[in-house]
Amino acid sequence: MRLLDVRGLSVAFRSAGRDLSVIEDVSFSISRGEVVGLVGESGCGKSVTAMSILGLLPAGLARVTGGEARFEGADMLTLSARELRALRGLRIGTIFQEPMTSLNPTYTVGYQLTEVLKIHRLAGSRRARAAAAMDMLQQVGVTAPERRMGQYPHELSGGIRQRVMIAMALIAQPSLVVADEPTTALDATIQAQILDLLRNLNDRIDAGILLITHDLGVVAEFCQRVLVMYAGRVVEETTVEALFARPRHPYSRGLLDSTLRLDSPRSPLPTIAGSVPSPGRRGAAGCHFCGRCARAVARCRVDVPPFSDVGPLHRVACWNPVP
Amino acid sequence: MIGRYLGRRLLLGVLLLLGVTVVTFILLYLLPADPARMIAGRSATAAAVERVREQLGLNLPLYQQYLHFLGRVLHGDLGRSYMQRVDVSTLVGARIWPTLQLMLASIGFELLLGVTSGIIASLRPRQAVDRIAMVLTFVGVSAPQFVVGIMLLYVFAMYFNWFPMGGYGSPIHIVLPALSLGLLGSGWYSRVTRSEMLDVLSQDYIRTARAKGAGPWRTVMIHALRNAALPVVAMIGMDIGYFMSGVVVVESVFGWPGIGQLMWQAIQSVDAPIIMAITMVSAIAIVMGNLLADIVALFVDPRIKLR
Ligand code: SF4
Repeated sequence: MRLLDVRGLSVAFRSAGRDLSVIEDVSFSISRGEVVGLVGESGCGKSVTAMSILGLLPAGLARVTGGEARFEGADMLTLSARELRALRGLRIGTIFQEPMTSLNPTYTVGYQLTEVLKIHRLAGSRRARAAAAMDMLQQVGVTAPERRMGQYPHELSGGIRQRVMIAMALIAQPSLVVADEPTTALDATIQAQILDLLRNLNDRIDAGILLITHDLGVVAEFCQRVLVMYAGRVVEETTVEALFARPRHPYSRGLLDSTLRLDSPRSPLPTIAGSVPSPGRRGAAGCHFCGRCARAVARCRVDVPPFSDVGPLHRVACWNPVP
Repeated sequence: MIGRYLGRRLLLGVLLLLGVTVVTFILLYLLPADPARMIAGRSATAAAVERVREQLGLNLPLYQQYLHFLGRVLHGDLGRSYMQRVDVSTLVGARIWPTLQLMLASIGFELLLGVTSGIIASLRPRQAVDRIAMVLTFVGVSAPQFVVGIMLLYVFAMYFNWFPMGGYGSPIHIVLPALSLGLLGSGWYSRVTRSEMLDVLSQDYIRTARAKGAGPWRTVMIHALRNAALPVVAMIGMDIGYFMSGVVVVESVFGWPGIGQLMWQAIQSVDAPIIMAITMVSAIAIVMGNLLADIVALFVDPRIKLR
C-alpha cells in the first residue's frame, strides 16, 4: 500500500471576495523508504501543496477545493482538526526551511524537542523525554547534547538549528517526513552534511520523504523520483535519472539548463525568461507555461495539456514535449 | 553585568528624583499662596506671620530653601505638614499600603481584561470582542478617569447598589476604584496584546508548533503569548506613572485613604511638605516599576540582556 496517495488536490486562495485557484488537480504518491522531490521555482505551489495536505494552510486565506490525500489509508483532507493533530508530529514529521524563524525563540532546545513527546504522550516521565531528546540530538550529530538542551535557538549556529529542527521532526519516528527546502538557508558544506544526515537517518526509520526544493542539485543528490510543478500544476513526473538524462517538459528542460549554467561562473543568466504567473493571471484555459515556452504551439493557449505517459514511470503534461 | 545595570539604574533614579524635586519646589514657590500666612492664621498680625516665615526658613532665597530641604531629606526628615501638624513621614507612610493595594488590583484588572480580550480579538480579528475592545480603547483616549469613576459609581453603587459608594476596608470596596483606574488602561493592553499576537501568530514557529501536533490552546498560550508578552510587560512599567496621576482623582472620588487623596488635600491647602513627599514617593514608584518591568522581561525573553 502507498504511504501517501494524493489525487486531484486543488487549493484556492481567497482574495478580494473571490477564489483564486493556486493548486490545480495535483496527484502523486509516496511509498515508505522513498524520497520524492517536488521542484519548481518559488511561487509554483510546492509549499502550498504540502501545507494543504498537512492542514497547515493559513485559515481563512486558503482552502482545499477538491481532491483527496490518503495517508496510511485515511483522507487527510477530511479528517477533523483533532485527528489531523494526532498525525502531525507523530506520524508525519515536518522540516521547515528557515531554522532561525521556525524555532520558537523563547523556549530552549530541550523544551521544543521534548514537547513533541509530551503532546503525543510518547514517553512517560519528564526524565524519559529528556533522555529521548538527548539521544535524538546525538543522532542528528549535535555535540554536547546535555548543554544544547538548555540553550535557546539564538545561541546556536544555522547548521545546528537545522539539526535541531530535523531532530524535532524525527523524534517520534514518523512514517512520512515533509521537508520544505530543508537546506536552502544553509551554506554549501552544511547543506551536504544535512542531506547526508537525513539520508542516514531515513535508512533507519524507513520513512517516505517529500522533499520540496527549487534546487535540482539537491534533487539529484537525494531523491529517487521527482515531480516538477509549474504554476500550481504538476507538469512532469519521472525518476531522477530520467529527468536529468532526458527531460521532456520544456519547463523541466529550462530548469535543468539554468541549473547547469549556474555551475559555470560565466553565464549567470537564467535560461527561462520571465517569471511564474501569479494565481490571478493564469487563466483557466491552456498551458500555464505558454507565455514563457519556446516550443508553444497553437493548441497550448486553448487546451490544458493532459498528463500522459511518455515512457515507463515517466509522465508529462505538454502538447509539444521536448523530443 | 547585572551590577552595572543596577548601578546605572540607581543613578538615573537619583537624578530623576533630584529633577522632580527641583521642579516641584519651584512650582510651589511660584504659587501666589503664602504658606506662612496660612499657618499663622487669618487673624494673625504681620509680625506673627513674619515669625512663622522665619521659623520655617521661608524668608531665605529659593536655592537655600531647597538645600535645606535636601539636607533634611537626606537625614530622613520629610518635615511636618503645615496644616495637620504631624510628621509628613507618618502621614504618607500610613497611606502607602492602601494605594499599593489599589494599584495592584487595578493592574490586575487591566491585565485580566486587557490581555484576555486582546488574545481573543487576535484570534478573531474584526469580530465582536475585537470591536468592543476597540471602542473601549477609544473611550479610554477621550474620557478622563474621574468620568469613568463617577459613571461606575452611578451605575453599580447608586443604581444597582452592588458595591459601596466609597470607603476602605473590605475587598468589595476596592472593586469600583480599581475598575475606574484599570478599565481604560485595559483597552490599551487589549490593543497592544492584539497587535502583538496578530504579528506573532503569523510567525514561522507557530506553524512549527502546529506541525508538531500542538492544539490551539498550546499554540496560543505557550508558543504565541510568551513572544507577545514583552511589550505588555514594558507597558506595566510605564503604566505606574499613569497610575500615579490617576490615583489622585480616583481616590478622592471614592474616598480611598491613599496617598492620592492625601495629595488632593495637600494641593488644596498648598501643604508643601506633603506635596514634596508624595511627589518623591511617586517618582520612586515609577523608577521601581520600570526596573521591575526590565527584570520581568529577562524571564520572558531569553534574548534580552540587561545593559
Ligand atoms: S503545452 Fe505548449 S506551452 Fe505548455 S509547455 Fe508544452 S509546448 Fe510549452
